[in-house]
Amino acid sequence: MKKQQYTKYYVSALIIACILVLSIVPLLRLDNSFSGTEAYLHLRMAENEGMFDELSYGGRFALYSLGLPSILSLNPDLLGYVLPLVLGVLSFLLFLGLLKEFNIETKSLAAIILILSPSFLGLFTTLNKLIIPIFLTLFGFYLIFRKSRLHLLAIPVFAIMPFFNIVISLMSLFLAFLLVNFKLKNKRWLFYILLPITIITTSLFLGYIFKNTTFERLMFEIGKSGINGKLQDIFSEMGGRYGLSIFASILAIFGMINNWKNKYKELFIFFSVFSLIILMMFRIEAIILLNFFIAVFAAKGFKAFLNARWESKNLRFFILLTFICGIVFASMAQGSRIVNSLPNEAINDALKFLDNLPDGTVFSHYSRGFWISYAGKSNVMDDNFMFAPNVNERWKDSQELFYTRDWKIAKGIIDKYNIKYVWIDNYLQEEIWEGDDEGLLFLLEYSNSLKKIYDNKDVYIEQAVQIWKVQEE
Amino acid sequence: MKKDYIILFAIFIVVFQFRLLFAFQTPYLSADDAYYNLRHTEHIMQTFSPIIFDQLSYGGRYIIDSHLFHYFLAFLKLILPMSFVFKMLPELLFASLVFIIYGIAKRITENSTAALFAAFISGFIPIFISNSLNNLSQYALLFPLLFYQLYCMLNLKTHMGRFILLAFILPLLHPFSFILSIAMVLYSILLNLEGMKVVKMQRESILFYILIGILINLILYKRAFFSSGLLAVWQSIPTNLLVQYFTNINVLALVYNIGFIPLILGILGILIGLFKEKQKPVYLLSAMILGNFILLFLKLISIQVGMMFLGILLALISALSIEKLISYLNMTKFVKYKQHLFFLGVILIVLTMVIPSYFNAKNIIDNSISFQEVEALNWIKDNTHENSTVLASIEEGNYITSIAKRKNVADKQFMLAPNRYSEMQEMFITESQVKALQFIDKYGVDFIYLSERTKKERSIEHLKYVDKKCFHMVFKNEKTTIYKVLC
Repeated sequence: MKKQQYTKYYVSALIIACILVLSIVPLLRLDNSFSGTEAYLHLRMAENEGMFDELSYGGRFALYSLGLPSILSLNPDLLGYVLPLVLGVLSFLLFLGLLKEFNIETKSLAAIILILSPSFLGLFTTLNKLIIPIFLTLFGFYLIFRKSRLHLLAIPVFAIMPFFNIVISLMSLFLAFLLVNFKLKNKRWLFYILLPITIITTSLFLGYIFKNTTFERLMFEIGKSGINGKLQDIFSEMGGRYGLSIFASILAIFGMINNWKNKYKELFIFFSVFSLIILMMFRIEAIILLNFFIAVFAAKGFKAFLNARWESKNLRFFILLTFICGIVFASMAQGSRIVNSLPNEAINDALKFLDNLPDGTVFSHYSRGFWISYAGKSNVMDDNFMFAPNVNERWKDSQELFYTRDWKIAKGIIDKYNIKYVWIDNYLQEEIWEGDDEGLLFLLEYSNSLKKIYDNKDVYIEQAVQIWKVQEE
Repeated sequence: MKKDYIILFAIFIVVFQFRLLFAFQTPYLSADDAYYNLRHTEHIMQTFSPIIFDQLSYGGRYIIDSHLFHYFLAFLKLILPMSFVFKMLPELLFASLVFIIYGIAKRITENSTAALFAAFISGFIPIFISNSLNNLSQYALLFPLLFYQLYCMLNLKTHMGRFILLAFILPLLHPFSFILSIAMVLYSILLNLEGMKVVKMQRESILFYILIGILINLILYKRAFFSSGLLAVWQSIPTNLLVQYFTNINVLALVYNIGFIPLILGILGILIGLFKEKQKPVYLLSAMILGNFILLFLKLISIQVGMMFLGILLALISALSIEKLISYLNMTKFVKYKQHLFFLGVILIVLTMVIPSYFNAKNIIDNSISFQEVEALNWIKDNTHENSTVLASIEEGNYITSIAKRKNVADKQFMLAPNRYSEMQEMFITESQVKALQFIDKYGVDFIYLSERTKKERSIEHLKYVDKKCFHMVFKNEKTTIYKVLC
């Protein structure tokens, strides 16, 4: 009885910790804006009915995850803030439930490591397309474990998952396959229902996409590439948005080594981990799923360190302290990155100004595309390259416009895309150009056909945004 | 025993005196990097806080440095005179290596004569002298501490506290300290390959040293890792410069610079330690050499630093060969000439190590920043607006910020700095005035500082694009010319 009560308190404390961590990070963003760019796309789509997005790439088929905007459309302003937190806490509870099902001894420790993991923090502190599918994955697995007829509910959960994220849906299906083959052998029949249903919904969704769009292979490289790029995706400390903590990963390796003797008992976990390690080389979604397993093994590793026979107690203390500091550091670094990420006040003010301007296409770097369309203006390019119309041509033209000093060339591109405004901010300036009068900056400065209509340099100095208007000749 | 300590102390005095003799031949410091350290130390002395955003370097950029060395110097400056802290202290620290080398060599060989020879050799590695003399460098503190950590590692039972303390200090001091982590991993692998076991306490200490090293480096260089990932370990050194690390390597020059004796005796020592005696400390030292080569191969360290480290390691391992030679000598009839042979050994060291060290030291002092150069830099400080930007070669960038107190276009602190290396190189050799003016316009250059040193390094006689219309010569002495940009 006493133990039960103790467990109850412990779980409550963990839930409170989870709520605190997930709510503090967004609250620290003083301007109440969402971190990054993706949230702005979903919020706009929540208010935009229909399958045609007229603001992205000058008009395109709205190939986005259908589920999230549909849910957000109920109350975009409120759900935009609340949904990540609610789903984060629910996912955390489901994770605790799953740990119980797997009889993990170190569940409290695993839960703490999960709360502090940069991947979990990055996922559930801002609105993004992965929050619902990850929640659904955990929910689906939790349902599969149910002994009553509740496990049948896993079927609709897996069935709707492709509408939120096809990749996670397929990965979850694969993990479900491992689960019924290595752990819940008596529920193989359930997998035989999940498999065709998930494939049917995935095919339907994909079919709908291919019917309405044409696929164009990207001829340019974006983001990180090569081994270093992969490492940057995988580890949070190297810059990965959903990356793993290096120290939790080291602990997890020790945990796995320590548990190697139980590999036949925990075949599902070991197979899942190895599969996800391979998959994470190709898709970042696998990193998020792997993070849950990392939390489990890191907890086991920590316990193994704690209980091992040490020659030097001092070293034991310092090693464990280093691990704790490493995990906390990764979490804090991730938190601080989310808090300090763009858009900042200067950009928000500029977006408000842009919102009030007459309609027209705005030219900027693709990374500003979602913000521009959130302000109700059409962009030339945004982050959503997949199935975008003439994406390679638009990329080439954008690059040319960034670096040309020849007004004739620039004018040609401006006319081609009917560009009315140009958005330049200081961060962009640092990223794209080296000097103050390189390429487009030179034209903006010296061409009479471009007029500065907004500049918040006086207020924000180093974070300033400028909006230029193309004068009609 | 007491006699050994007296000899050891005498060796230290000789090495220290040798260094001081040259260091005080010039009132200035020899390397451009030294002025980076000097400037940061002076800033800490004045404000008690480090420069985080440097307004002068690259015209304004963030500095990523733990500043531990600068705080160390600033603290000493509170209680000691300036000439001691900036001129004598680095020499004292570098010379103190002989004590540590003696300690490690004695631990490996248990022969004080061999250890004394190793200590003597380590004090006169020519390439070490070249790169450390009259140089206010972090390596002055790093090298002795790194080797002392090695000593602690070999004596963990008695030196555990110091090992833990140094495990915190070393990564804070310089990223090069990570070489010990690499060496420790290689050491474990080598021992495993030989079917030997790493002692449990050593295993624990290796794990701790590696983990704390990773953590501190991740915290210190967070910004760099975030933006560049693993590439941050190359400290944003321009590719062109990395390529240069290994060009013009002359094997004979390397032998001359490391020293013939440590090279032969060191290699012999490795062979004896690894294959005959199977001594664990030699495995550790070999792992350090291997680690050094790995860092060199990956171009993570410059050839100069790599060779400095290699020289000291070889001098250290030489003790094993010397000990074997002494043992062998004791078994032969030559034993009665032991004293003479020792004397011959000393003569050999003097001929092959001390004399090359003398010439290297002389060369370093001769090529130090001259009075005329300092005069020109002071002219800039006194006669230009404090917001002026001065173009100087990348190797003289820190002179501009430290002595002239003006903005430079680029210097050798590459971490998180914009890559201007190629442009900078071209700026001194281009014939095109259009190109030069574009560059000048781009970086807002107001003055050009052209020294004889720059001319010599780039094999030029003057800047070909300079004419009277766009450039006005505002200062000239034997070794420098300063132009004001008019266009």
